[in-house]
Amino acid sequence: MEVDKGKGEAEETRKVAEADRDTVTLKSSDGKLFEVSKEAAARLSTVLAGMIAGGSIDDNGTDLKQIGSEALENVVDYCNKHANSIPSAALISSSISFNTAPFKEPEEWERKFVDRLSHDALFDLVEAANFLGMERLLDVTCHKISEMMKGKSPDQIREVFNIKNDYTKEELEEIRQELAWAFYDD
Amino acid sequence: MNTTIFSRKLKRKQSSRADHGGAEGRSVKEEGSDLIIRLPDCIIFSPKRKRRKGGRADRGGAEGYSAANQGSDLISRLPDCILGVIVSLLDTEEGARTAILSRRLRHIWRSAPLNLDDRLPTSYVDSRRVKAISQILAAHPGPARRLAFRSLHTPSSLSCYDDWFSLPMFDGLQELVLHFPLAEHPKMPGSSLRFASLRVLDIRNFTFPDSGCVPSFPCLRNFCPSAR
Repeated sequence: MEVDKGKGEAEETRKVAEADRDTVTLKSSDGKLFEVSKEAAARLSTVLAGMIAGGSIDDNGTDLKQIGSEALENVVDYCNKHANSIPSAALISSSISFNTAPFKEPEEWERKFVDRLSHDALFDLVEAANFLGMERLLDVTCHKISEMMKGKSPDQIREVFNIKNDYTKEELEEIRQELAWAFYDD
Repeated sequence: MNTTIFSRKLKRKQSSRADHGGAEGRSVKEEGSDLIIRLPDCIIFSPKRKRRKGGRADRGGAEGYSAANQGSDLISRLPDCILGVIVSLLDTEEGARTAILSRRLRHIWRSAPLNLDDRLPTSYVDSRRVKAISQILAAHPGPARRLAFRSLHTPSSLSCYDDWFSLPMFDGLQELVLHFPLAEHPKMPGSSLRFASLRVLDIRNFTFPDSGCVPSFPCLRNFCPSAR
């Protein structure tokens, strides 16, 4: 949902955003502009909610220097899809902190949303969700990553995520003994 | 936003961030953005990642990634609090086994809230299961977020519940799943009524204990009684 790259169009976007206060314009680290429903942004992101409440939203595009355009596009896409597909009651229960709330399984559309992402895009989205305080999106992306680990041996997990085994043999043995109960099937 | 865990992590991050992040470990704070106070705590010390496109060769220089590693290790770059969430979504044993992946991941399982699920091999008899659960409780310092017991069924195993439930690591328990595999409906241990912060209670084939008072779970959002 990239709004625009050109200056003239940016001006147009700004005017539209000013006239219609239902949306906010976000600017990625590489300068691309994206428009998202103000209501959805405030509901799904604690950081954007704080900025909207505090009046620090820039009509010309609020700078999000930590987030690249691909990740921001996914964030905006998620907000729009979320706004369209979840009844309001479910949103109230999902507004509690993801660290303390019971984990709620991703909806079908959320699974599809993360399944289509490349490895890199998934991790960029985790970081963007973390940066923006988007608890539900963090749940969904973390769930996807945990699914990628499930049922795999340590070697297989290292391969999937390119994790370098930087332990010595002795250290590996020490951990295996410490956590012997977890390695029953080896 | 509840940032309890973030704050706890922050302390650890402050003392340990020199260990990882290396050359790329600039904090967001140094960017001078006025957005900083709005950030969740854990992101404040999250290493800023270079864009992969065009920057691949630079990645992780200070962290000593070997050249043999063709792709990027994206997971190890996530902040501890996110890694903790990922690991606690795995089964208990699988979560604990992540410690063996690399030094970066060694302490994640222990530092994330415990999700204890007794989905152990079905060949386990109760006594072996109880031993394994005791070892898990000894290996993890707490706190525990979720407890799920579905397979213990001998009277001597059930007597362990009271001992376990009384542990301080369960003071802030959020979810309790208590299933009895047979239709005998024993009484739930009295100590299971102490979890005031419980949000999810899922009981099957158990009856509430006779405590003389009505059980009270002020935070309960999801109650799933089944088969009685």
